[in-house]
Amino acid sequence: MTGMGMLRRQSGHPEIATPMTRPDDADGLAARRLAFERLTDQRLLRAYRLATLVMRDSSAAQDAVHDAAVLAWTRFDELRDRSLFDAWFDRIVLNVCRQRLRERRVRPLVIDATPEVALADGASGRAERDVLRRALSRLTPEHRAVVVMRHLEGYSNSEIAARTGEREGTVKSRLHYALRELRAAYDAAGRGTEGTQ
Amino acid sequence: MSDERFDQDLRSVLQEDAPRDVPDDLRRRVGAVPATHPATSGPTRPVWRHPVPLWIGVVSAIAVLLAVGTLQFRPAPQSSVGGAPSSTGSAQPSPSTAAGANSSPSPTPSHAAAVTACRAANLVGRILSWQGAAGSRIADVEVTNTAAPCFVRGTPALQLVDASGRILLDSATAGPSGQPHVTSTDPTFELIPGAHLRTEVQASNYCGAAPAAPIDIAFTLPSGGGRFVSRPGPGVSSAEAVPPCNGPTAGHIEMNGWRR
Repeated sequence: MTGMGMLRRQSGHPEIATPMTRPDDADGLAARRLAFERLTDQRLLRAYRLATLVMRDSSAAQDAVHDAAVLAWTRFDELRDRSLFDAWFDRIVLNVCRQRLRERRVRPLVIDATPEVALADGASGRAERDVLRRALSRLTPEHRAVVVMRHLEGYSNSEIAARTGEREGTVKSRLHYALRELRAAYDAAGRGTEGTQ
Repeated sequence: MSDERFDQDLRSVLQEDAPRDVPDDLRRRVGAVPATHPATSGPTRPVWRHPVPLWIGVVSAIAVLLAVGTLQFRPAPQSSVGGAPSSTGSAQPSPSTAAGANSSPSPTPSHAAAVTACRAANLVGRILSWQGAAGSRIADVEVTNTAAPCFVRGTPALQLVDASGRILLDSATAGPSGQPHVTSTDPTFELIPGAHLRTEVQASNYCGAAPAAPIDIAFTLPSGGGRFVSRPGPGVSSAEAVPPCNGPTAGHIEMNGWRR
């Protein structure tokens, strides 16, 4: 990974030592930094997408991804197998998103309107997608996360489980209930549209 | 309706709502993480620290006082930590400022002075954008501290105000929850000069006469902190600021909790 093997640890490099590191650890730190920067850079767009869709707020998502990166860096040494970085980082991002949504004293903004208002705009496909969008915003963050990971990223149940820290059965159940809710709203919108045409 | 079409529409919605690029600012912030944070287990949330260590401030203050031989006292503002009834004690902003928090008259030029609640006169609000949604409008608002370090805590009252000063929506009409208030679980946000907080304000159901642009949002701080008006930032139009009339129920305006 990223040529880390070429960076051999050596003793006594005071010129690259920082207050955060001992001199004999400087090369190791430089290698870890390089590895971390490359891994996060490769993962950043997907992590940001996930956070944005779960939080329904792009600026809150940016803060969450930044906080997740700080947390990931402080625990980077705990990750033994760096090929698991993507799932590990997604899991941290999701945890930070959940924590931040819980901390919001006022409930997350739900873009809401009566179905009648949405359906009156004529284009049936757009109306149904609008209804779907609002139904998504009403899901819990946990349910929204599994829907995003399955229907946008195409992950399997086991891959989602690795990213959420839940069992596969829990993932399956969350997907089932989330999709049932979305489908109900979607079908109701479709019936409403048919009625208005 | 078919499963296939449902799946297709769901994917379309997610793709439309998903960002296509990483903002430069986020890329920069994440890229700077390894250089600015120690690689050991630590706090998950950034903590503001004094630019000068507390002990240096204390020692400097004592040295100045001894040299000059005089004390210059400044009464604490009314909305200092001790002046906010519901925030006493738990509102101590951080261990780094706790040393001076108990002494209300404090020496002026020292970091050891207590950090007090931000006054509206020292805060500048800016509306960064308005998002139109069916039935409501959401403003992204940034508030910047322009004076000495202070803290923000609790929920302000909100008003949607037009260019003539007419109040279109007022959170106070919703009862006590819409009045400025502080609860024991509210987080405290310390703001050094130039630091800012963000929030989203959601407004819905305005049924009055057509307002005059630009549309502002007024915040009235808890504990008598005063009222400041957030104006649209450069290039931000008020075209999407006024929520549509949804019916005879009262109009509504509320905000998410403060965040950095």
